[in-house]
Formats: sequence, C-alpha cells, structure tokens
Amino acid sequence: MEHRNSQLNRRRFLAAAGAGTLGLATGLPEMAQAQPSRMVMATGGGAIEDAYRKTVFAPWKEKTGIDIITTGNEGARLKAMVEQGKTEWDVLQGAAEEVIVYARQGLLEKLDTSKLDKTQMFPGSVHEHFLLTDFAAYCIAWNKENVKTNPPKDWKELWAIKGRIGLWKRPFQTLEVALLADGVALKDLYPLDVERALKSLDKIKSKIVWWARGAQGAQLLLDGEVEAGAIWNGRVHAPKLAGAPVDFTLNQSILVSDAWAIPKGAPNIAKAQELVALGSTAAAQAAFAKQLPYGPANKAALTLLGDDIKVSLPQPGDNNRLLDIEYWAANGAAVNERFNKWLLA
Amino acid sequence: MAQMNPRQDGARKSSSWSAADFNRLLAIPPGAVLALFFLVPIFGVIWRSFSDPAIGLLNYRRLFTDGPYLQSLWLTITTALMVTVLCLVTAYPVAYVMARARTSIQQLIGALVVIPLWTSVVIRSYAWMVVFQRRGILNQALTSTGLVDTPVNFIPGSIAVYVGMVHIMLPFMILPLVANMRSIDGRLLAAAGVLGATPAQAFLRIFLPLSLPGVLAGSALVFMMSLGFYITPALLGGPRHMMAAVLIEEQANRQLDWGLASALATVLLVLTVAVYSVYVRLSNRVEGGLAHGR
Repeated sequence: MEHRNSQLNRRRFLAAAGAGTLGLATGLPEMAQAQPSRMVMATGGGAIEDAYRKTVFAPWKEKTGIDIITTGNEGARLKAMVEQGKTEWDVLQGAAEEVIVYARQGLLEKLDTSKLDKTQMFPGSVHEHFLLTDFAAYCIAWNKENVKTNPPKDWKELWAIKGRIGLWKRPFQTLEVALLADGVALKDLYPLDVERALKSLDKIKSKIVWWARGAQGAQLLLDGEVEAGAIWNGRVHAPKLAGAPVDFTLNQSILVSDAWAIPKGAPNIAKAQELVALGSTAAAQAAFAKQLPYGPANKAALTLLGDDIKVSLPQPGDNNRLLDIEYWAANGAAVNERFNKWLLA
Repeated sequence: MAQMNPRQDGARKSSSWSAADFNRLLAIPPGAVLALFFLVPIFGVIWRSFSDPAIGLLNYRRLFTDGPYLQSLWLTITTALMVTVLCLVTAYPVAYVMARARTSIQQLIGALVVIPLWTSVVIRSYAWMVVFQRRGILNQALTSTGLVDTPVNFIPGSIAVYVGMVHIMLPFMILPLVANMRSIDGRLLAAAGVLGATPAQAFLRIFLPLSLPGVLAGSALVFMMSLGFYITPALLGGPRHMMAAVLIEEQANRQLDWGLASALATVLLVLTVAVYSVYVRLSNRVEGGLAHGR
C-alpha cells in the first residue's frame, strides 16, 4: 500500500541495503537447511511498517527467534527477482489491487490457509495467493477553516461544494466515487461505467486538485489548499486527533485493503506461511488496529477491541463498498489507459 | 618517460607504448563497467519492447495509435524545452558574473549553486509546494502588499512546475557555462575595447559566440535530464504536466506491463540520443567556426 502509507526514508534504504547483503549471506548452500535467523518482508514502509513491527514482528521474534528485516515493496523488483529465480523476500505486503496483479502474473506462492478459520474472515478477504489483512477507507474529508458549515455528507455534496476538491490522480477508487457522486448506488457500482464516471469528473474538472501521493493529499487538506476532497482515513485520523483543522466522514467510502502474500521462490516458504498466519490472527490484527485506524479482516479481532477504538475503524457494511479487486485485475490496464487519456485531454 | 608527448607518437615504433595506447588502456575498465551494467540492460529493455508479450510491434502500435502516450510524450518534450530555455536565461548572467569574479567570490557563488544538490529532489519539490500554496509565503506576501485580493492558485500550475524544475536543473546549466566562460581569454575583450568596440559590442560579437559551446553543452544536459523528470511535475503540476516517466513507472511498477514500459522508455531514449547527436553536430560546427576565426 505504497501510496496510502509509505514514506521513503533513509532507514528503509538501509534496510533494503541490509537485505541485499543478507541475500548474499543466506545464499550459501550450507545455511539453506537451517532455521533462518532473519527473514525479509517487503512493505510500504512508514506508519504501516512501524505498526507491523510492534504487532506482528515482535511476537514473531518471541515465538521463533527470527528477526524480520524490511525492504520496499516495488512490484517491478518482485517481478525481476522472480524472473531471475533469485527471490529475496519471504513475505510481502501491498495494496490488494496491486497484489492481485502479482497473483495473476504468477509471481506468488499459494497460501496454506488450512489452519485459518475462514468463517471468522470478512467475505472476500481470503484468496488463493494472498490474504487481506485490513480495511482502510477512501473517504470524504474537509478543511474545517475553509468549510465551516454544512460539510459534505456524501460524494454528491462534495461535488457540489464551492471551492477546490482534492482527488487521487489514479483511476482506482476515484472512478468509483465519481459514480457515487453521479447518483449510482453503492451496490450497483460494478462493473464500473467508466464513461459515466469520466462525465461526472468532467463536471468538476476545473475544481479538482489532483494529488499523486497520500502524504500530499493529506497535506492539501491540512493546509487548506483545497476545501475538501478524498483521502484515506489513516492519513487524516491522527492529525484530526492532534487538533488539525480537518474532519472526515466514513459514509459512502470505498474500502481498500492491504494484502499479505508470499513471493514465488521465497527463501523460507514454510516459515513465511507461519508468518502470514500470525499476521491474520485476531490478536495481531486487534493490536494493529490500535496502532492504525484500519479495520481488521479477521472479525474475531473486533471482540478484542473497545468501542472507543472500533468507532473509527472502517468495516464492510451498508454505507461503504469494498473495492472490487477482481474487476480491477481484469480491467485495470484498459481503464487506466482511458483515465490517463481523459486526464490529458 | 620519453613518450610523454603525444605529438611524437607518429614517429615512434609500434613496439613501444605510446600515450594514446596508455589512454586506451585506461578506458577499458570504465568501458567494461558501462557495457556490462548500462549497455546490456538497455539493450534488454529495447529487446523487451519488441518481444513482450509477443515478437512484433504490438507495444509501439499501442503507443502511437491511441491512449495517452503520444500526448504525454509531447508534453514531456515541451516541458523539457521550456525548462531548458528558462534555465539558460537564468543561468547565463550568473555564470558570467561567476566566471569573471575574484576567486573568493567565485567560490562563494559556486557553493551557493552546488549546495542545493545536497537536498533530495523530493524534499525540494515539497518545499516548493509550501512556498506556492494558497496560504504559502508567496501568497501571503502578495496579499499583504495588496498586489492581489485573493490568494492565487499556483498549484497545480505551470509556474510552479517551471520554478521547481528550473531550481533543480540550474546547476547543470551554470557549471558547463562557467567552465566554458573561464576558458575565454579576457584579453580578447580588452583588445576589442582598444579597437573601439563598446562593451555591448564586445560582448555580443566576442564573448557570446565564444560562450556558445557552453550554452550548447548546458542546454543539451538540462534538456536530456528534464525528459526523465518525475516527481516535481507530479507534485506541482496538474494533468497538463503528466510526464512520460510517470506513465513508465505506472506500467513498470503497478500494471507490470514491462513490454509497454520498455517501449515508452525506448522512445524516450531515442529522443535523448537524437538530441545528443544534434548537440554533437552543432558543437562541432560552432567549434569549427570558432577555430576558423569566424
């Protein structure tokens, strides 16, 4: 989930460099049989990696004695490693709509979900090659100094707002909310009527300020550069609590997920299966939700959380819609091309 | 070392080492590194653009017939061109002052030019966001002085993109210019003065033509680097500044369509090589002209 959470920093770079050297070390044949002393997980970095460190990596280390080293989760690197037969990652985390593309391209191992209690998982979160771990919301937010009265309650009202609107410069989620603004019901979203969505965006084209990265989208709202806009809830949750002039609603939000998977040819597949299983336990996901305001994919985690936490967690329900990653896996290339063409027109 | 003077090479027996041989030998390690880690991967990319997913012109047909690609390439070229022109106009006076200043002043200006390179491009682009945004310092200055009533929306916009990119590219224009201007013999200008030229005439007819090699080198460098710009236009510009690099990243890293990404990259590479060969021709002509006293 690079955009939703990431930040490139020196530490991550060092971790990646470290992982590279580690690859050399563990590549020695006599070490292949032994229990690894370290494993590599590719993540989006930033806040989400810190949360994993506390809620998954720490208990994992306690249980197995194995350290987790992290590195950046660029899809191109994954593809190159698998093509060369030199996979260095044991586990990866990424945006579900990207991870499903990896799965379709044959870059992932099958997951062992035999021990997983699937009845406890939200529908649509268990796949052959990856597991969804959480739900974030692409939601409506506004700057409280710019919008003092009648903040937008749904996308239609956001479209009608006087002033500038921040939107993500990618088709995923943006086309969905454009349709919602045009009056399409949540349940009728898919398959997307792309041309209708673009017409809906046409109506506000002069008001849109496109953002390319989550941090940038949040900053536009915090600085009052836009009146209101779309953003992932995790980006504005903490600033709001800290007193920044920003507020948001989860009504009509599009839920997006992080997914965990094992790259094809991972160095320690058996251990990686265990790590993925640990990441999907109720205990780990409940602890994670206390760090970041993302709803757990494992429903049992909700029973471990107080109402004060639960209220800010996006969960699949009547007033939101889970991003249809199957739709995007099948149509992403064509729709993306159409969207970019529209942007440049 | 008797063979220090390369001019004597021709008279030497082939059995003994010449300076030219030695230079050639020196070039082997960097040449090998370049071939192995640069040329081979680039040929890999070019090959992939014709072979992934199937052998043929599939990817190029997609690039040139429909979709956003041609439009984005055109935007990339015009943006890079604009940045080059703005850089040249801004850099030329700076380089002129720097080349003719006292050593200490020269070092000071040099430091001021180079120090921004230490900060990452991403951070500098975010910093420009802070400057240009609605409640940014620029707008505060404009509104408090009464020049405008309501804040100007600089972001997203061309002004912000050009300022951000020119800021990043300036050193690459200034440094070749300075190197060239320093080599211009100041006595030529003095001689022109003695012979009755006004300072403006001396500049236009002596200095400016002599500085053309620096102008060409700096412009070629800035233009070619600007073709690959990614983050600054993405942060400061709107859709009208969607550079080809953004589309390449999207295809390479997200859609994982490496065939199309390779085709786009190949087109950019061909453009860059074309610009470079124009540069080489022009600079040969300029230097040839200068050598013949034109």
